[in-house]
Amino acid sequence: MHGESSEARTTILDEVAIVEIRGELDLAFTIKLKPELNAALRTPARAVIIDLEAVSLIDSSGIALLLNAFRRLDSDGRRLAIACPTGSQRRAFEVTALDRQLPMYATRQEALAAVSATRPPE
Amino acid sequence: MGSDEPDAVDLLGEALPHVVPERIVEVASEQAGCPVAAYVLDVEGLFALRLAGDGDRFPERFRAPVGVGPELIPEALPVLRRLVSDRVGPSTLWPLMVRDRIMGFLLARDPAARDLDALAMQAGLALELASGYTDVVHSVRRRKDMQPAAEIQQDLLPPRLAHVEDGDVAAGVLPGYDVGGDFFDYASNADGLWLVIADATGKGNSAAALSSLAIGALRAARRAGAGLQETARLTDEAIRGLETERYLTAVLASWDARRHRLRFINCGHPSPLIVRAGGHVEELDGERTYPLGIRFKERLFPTVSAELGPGDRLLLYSDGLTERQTSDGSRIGDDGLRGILAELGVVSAAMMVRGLQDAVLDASPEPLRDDATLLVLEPHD
Repeated sequence: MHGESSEARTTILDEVAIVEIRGELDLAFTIKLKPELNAALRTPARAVIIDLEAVSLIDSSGIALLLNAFRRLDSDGRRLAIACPTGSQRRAFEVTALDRQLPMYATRQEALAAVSATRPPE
Repeated sequence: MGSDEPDAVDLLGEALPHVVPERIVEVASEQAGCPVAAYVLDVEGLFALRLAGDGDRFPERFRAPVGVGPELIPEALPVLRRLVSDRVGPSTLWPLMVRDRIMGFLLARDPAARDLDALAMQAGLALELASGYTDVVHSVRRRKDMQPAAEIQQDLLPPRLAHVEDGDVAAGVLPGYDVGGDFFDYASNADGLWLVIADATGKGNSAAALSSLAIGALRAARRAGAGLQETARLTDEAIRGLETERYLTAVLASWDARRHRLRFINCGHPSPLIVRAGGHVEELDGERTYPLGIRFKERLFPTVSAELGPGDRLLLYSDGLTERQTSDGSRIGDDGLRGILAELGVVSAAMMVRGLQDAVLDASPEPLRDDATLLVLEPHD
């Protein structure tokens, strides 16, 4: 399975956890990614960025994992931002119409800027 | 019925369900005055498998890609006859029919003393009835051992080929190596022809469980008289009740044959395609909502309309088709699909499904990574 050559790495920057994924985010890699993502979610980070800039393919398992992260962070009052370039990498999100529901940004920079901006009053 | 013509009841008679195939072959051989064997197709519609008959005289199996699932494509009978005669020499073949569906065939390698058409019709019915009570027919159809998820999928699906009011439906699932939870459904109801194609996240048993629940919720809603939106909503609710991040992409559609109008809701699934009379492929890329089983603050089910009448062919498919890898390391893709459709040209719904399935299988020697599902509707004049 192609997910065998995928990688993930988490760094913390100014209370923001950035999970960078490289390769194919398919079922095989989703299983390996769960512990990494869980660890990132358990940090005291006030926001999590999932960086998909180097992801070549994402399938429904990968999307389900992102939905799970979104829901868990949301219930904590914390923010998720997904960095995913427009074009072929966003296809899976466009077909599922999730690009309109999930907080998506074209680059890591934009995602960081979005979570760092002062929160508007509730 | 003539006194020496057994009907389905006679063939079922006192015979236990699991010996009905042998009984059919016995009676057929008697009537024909020579050895006769009975064959069925495997679940992928690619091989003919001997159900009963002399193993020394008749091959156990041979390649016969003339089915959509285990149902023989009527237009492909000449191809089957040629494949059979290539394999065993001059022979006679009689289709085993259940109404207008062909479930298998009887085969004689010697000149038959009489025509077995009438017997074949009764035998087809007897076999269909018997297979509700015994595993023997199901076992022969399965060339490989099936996982529970694959078995569920086979059980969930309606007949692959159907003549409905004003049209033909043909549909099939090519299962992935680890069955992926795709399904299709259709129902010819007073309020229109309902068509559904769906794809559950994940693989194997959990995907099968999600699909089973979804098809149950869908059918329950539809049979209670719910319209498209209500059916979508109820199915969505049922899946959300599982409290999982898994979801189901789907197209729920209803076709009004008289008004030539298709209405549908796209829940995060590849857009339906219509192949118009001239060969032009139109993508029905209207408003869509996100998959069933997920909830954000807003949940709407926008309905899209399109014209669909005689001369057109509607194609619903799952992304297992467009994502299928090709030998050169890429994937079939949207362009590849259009290319295949152009090559197939104007063919029946059943031949279109078979042609698309062959293209998917031939794209690469590797097994499918994901289910590839197709449903074609061909309106009649």
